[in-house]
Amino acid sequence: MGRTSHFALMTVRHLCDDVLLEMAETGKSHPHLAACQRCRRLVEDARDALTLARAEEVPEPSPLFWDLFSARLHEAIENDAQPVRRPVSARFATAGWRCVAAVVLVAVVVAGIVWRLRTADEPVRQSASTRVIGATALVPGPAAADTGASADVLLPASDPSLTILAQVTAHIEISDAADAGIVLQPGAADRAISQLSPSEQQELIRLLQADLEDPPW
Amino acid sequence: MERVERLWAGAGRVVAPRHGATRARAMSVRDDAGAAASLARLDDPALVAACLAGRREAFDVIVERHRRAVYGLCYRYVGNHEDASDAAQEVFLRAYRALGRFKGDASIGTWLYRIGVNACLNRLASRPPAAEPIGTTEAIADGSPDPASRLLQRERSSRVRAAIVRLPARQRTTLILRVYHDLSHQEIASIVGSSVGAVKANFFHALRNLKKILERDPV
Repeated sequence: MGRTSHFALMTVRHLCDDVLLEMAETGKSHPHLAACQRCRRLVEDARDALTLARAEEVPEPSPLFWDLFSARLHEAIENDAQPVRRPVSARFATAGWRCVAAVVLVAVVVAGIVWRLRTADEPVRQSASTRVIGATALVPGPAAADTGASADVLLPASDPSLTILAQVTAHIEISDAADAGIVLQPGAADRAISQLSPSEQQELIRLLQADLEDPPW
Repeated sequence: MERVERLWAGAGRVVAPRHGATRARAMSVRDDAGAAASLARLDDPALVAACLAGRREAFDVIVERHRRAVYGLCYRYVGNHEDASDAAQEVFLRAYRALGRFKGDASIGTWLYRIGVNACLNRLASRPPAAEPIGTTEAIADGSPDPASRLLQRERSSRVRAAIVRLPARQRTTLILRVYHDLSHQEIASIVGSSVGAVKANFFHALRNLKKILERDPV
């Protein structure tokens, strides 16, 4: 009998903090408290502390304080250099389409300029590329393919990106690019001409003269 | 007759804009009052949206709704009116700057408490709070008419406040938010960034420690 009591004392378990807190906050009781002095005391202490804490009140500032507080806050916000901002996602949602449109426009215009420049010196390169790649390796540009006209622009079929570029920029005029603000840096054209080989310069002169004799408009 | 009509028409042209301007001013004042009234009817998330849309007066409504609670929170941390006032202003200024980052997962009150707790702990880390002399201010709800009882109550409040200030930061935060702002354990957990279990443990230990401190220095 004595051994059993000793064993019972050794295995006694106390209530966990969660349960003790719940009893202190809600005022509920638990059968364990009747038998366990330690838990009972913990709950009573917590209840006492809670009662004292709840009785504590914050001193109320004067009624004028809130007006002053608002005025000071207004002034602080005015002086603050950081204005309230929309979250990044919201800002992107409203301005995102503009960014995308601008990027697409710039890409198209740049591609148009590249295509134009390539078209201008194509006859010079054509002979060389024909020799290397062969006539069957050249595909007509989009304008020729669409209209069925003779291929005045030939692009190497080995570079599909140029074909795609040509298709995308087929209807882009250099003037549109200029209107969009895409312009050559001053001196870029002069630099490009100075880097042409003598035969390329001759071809450029021939093309310009041909354009002057028979303007496209 | 034609001349009279012309004069009348001319007068109309001169007078009408004046009347129009007066009416426009009156309508503007009425619109402002109406706008303020309509803002006051909005809930907190709608006020935040209005503020982000550029209506700064919406933030005034948010401040007006929460200033007392924020001030109370700050006061319980710093223990005096001056510092509490500065801290509360800092809380709203921080909130204004960060309004765009308010996700709306919790209530704006909880969000302000989070800012307030951080602001006050930072403030206390840089300098310890200065206790306010007893009797310099009026209590929010002081129902006792008897001056002696009122003085006793103030003294008791002051001692409890001083005991709360001596609690470790997490226990103090948990106790303040739970007892004085009626936040759930879950809300406190989201503010202090810990688990609900940890919040409960902190709160229970805060009560035990508060009891010990007050026993050493009886109320």
